[in-house]
Amino acid sequence: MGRPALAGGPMSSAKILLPAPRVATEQEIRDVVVAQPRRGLPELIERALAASGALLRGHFGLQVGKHTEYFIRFRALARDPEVLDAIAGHLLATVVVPPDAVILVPESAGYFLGEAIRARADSGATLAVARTDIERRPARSLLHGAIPAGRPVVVVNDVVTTGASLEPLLDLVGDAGATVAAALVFGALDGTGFRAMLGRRRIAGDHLVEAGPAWAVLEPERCAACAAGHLPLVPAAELN
Amino acid sequence: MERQQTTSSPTEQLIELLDSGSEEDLAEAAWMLGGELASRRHDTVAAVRRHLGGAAASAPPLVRGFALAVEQLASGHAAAEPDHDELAPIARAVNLRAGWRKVIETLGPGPMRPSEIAATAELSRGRVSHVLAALERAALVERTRSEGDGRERWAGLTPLGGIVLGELDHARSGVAIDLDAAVVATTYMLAKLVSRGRASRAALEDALAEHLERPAVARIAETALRAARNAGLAVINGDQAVSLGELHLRDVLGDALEHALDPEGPAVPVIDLARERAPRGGLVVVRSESHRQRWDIAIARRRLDDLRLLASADWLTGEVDRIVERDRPFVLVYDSPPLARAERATESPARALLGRAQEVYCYSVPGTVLPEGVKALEVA
Repeated sequence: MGRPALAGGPMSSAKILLPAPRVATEQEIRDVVVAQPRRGLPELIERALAASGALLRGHFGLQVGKHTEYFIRFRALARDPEVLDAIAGHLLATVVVPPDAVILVPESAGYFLGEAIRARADSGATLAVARTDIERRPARSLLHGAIPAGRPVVVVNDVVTTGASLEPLLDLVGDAGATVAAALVFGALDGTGFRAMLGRRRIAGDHLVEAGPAWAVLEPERCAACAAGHLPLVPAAELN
Repeated sequence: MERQQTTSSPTEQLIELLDSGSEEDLAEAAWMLGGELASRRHDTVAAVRRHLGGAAASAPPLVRGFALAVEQLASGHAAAEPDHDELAPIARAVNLRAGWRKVIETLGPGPMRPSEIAATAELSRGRVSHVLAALERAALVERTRSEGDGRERWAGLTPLGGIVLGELDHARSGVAIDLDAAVVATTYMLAKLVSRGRASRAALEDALAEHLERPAVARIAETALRAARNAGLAVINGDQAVSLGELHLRDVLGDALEHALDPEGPAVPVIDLARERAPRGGLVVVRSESHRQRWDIAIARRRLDDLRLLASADWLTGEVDRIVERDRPFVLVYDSPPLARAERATESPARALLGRAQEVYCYSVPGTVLPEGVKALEVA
């Protein structure tokens, strides 16, 4: 996914200097969130984001070290069980959860998506929860559940950038002697990077939404809000 | 400071450092004295106090400030007694937690690598890492990088950890830590600030400035903060401090919530403590920041329909009215005394909610000072 340059790009400084986070407008949702072109999905995403107020606009620091103008608070989306079930259904359209699978989620809002996928798959899969570290990144140890050696594992999280935050979970699967059957996330801000990560790892996976061209994810030194003296909310995961 | 190895006694070394009058030597003296205190070498401490008493009038300002701090703390010892309660939870924590106890006992002979601890204590590497982090926060263990391999971190007991190890069998009544002396004067001030919920480096420096000359304050404050960690009184991160009692509370709640992640597991008394306060037909609204993910997941997994979690971002996304239903009575339960203090003391979106709650509670360990109107849900 291409990233706009600040100078002369769609992200004029007047547009991005926001001192405090706020809920994005419906127009902003349409402008920046790109849903996969699957039947009913774009409408579902737009409706759910608008109703839940889950898309925030402000100045956010991501765990990967980059800054962004928008942040999806997945926990707000997940509070509606029908929306959550529909999201799980879309993710399960491309991936089969084996009957003996373990669904591995971090101790974060990603849990709720993993639980919805487990319930929707109705395949007898069990759930395992990985710890998060002090900065709310997934850690390479289990908080709850088990990953028996040799079992297929479906790794689930809510929103990632390129998927680097999934690495500890994928490593955890390897530590246990199990195999990653798939990696499923609701959103991958850098969809291209996420697909590349899946390719490098040779694992199946899917995501439903990504950041559109008007949603910049930038290195801090290129962040206009930082240049204007606004402190980012770091880590934005604190909002989940 | 580089100092030649000598055969003189600790008392002689301390007096030599104090007499030099330099800031660096004074800081080293304070650090040494902290170690003497933690190791209960009262003779050394008493000798230093006598020496300082005789030298105060003609000594440089830094030494006079040091002497004043020593005497203030010594005279404040009786008043400091209640703060001993802050240490009791640590002793209980060590005794109650098999992992903590195993690691402390394993480290008794000396520092080790985490892999050696795991093998000796028969704990997983992950568990050892988790326990070491908790023990380090409690100032019972310190970790240093290996000289040969910078990636490797050795763990060893702090002086406080050594005392806890020595008293594990008696720890049910709390570890008797001697606060009588020296740098603990400023540590005492810090402890008082912690108990009032306004401990920070800035507050400590303001308190010290009432007694010391300004140029000495920063150095003494730095030494006091190190001494505070050494004495197990408080942990300072940036400009915030939490007492060890509060750290223990976080661990107790974290563990309870971890158990609650098993939907088929037994009841979790710590959680039921809050649920028992629910008004008839109403809700318990848990106000949490540090444990909010775990509360959130535990409530979902256990289907605790009478519990609702409220985190600060819920105001941002306008979810408060969905979480706290307008027409249902509720009580508010904080899971952190500092959070309860902050939201009672300052304007925040939570203030309106506080007014609507039938009662306001806060999880705490015995002895915690809570704001007026907030009732304690005490956990051991």
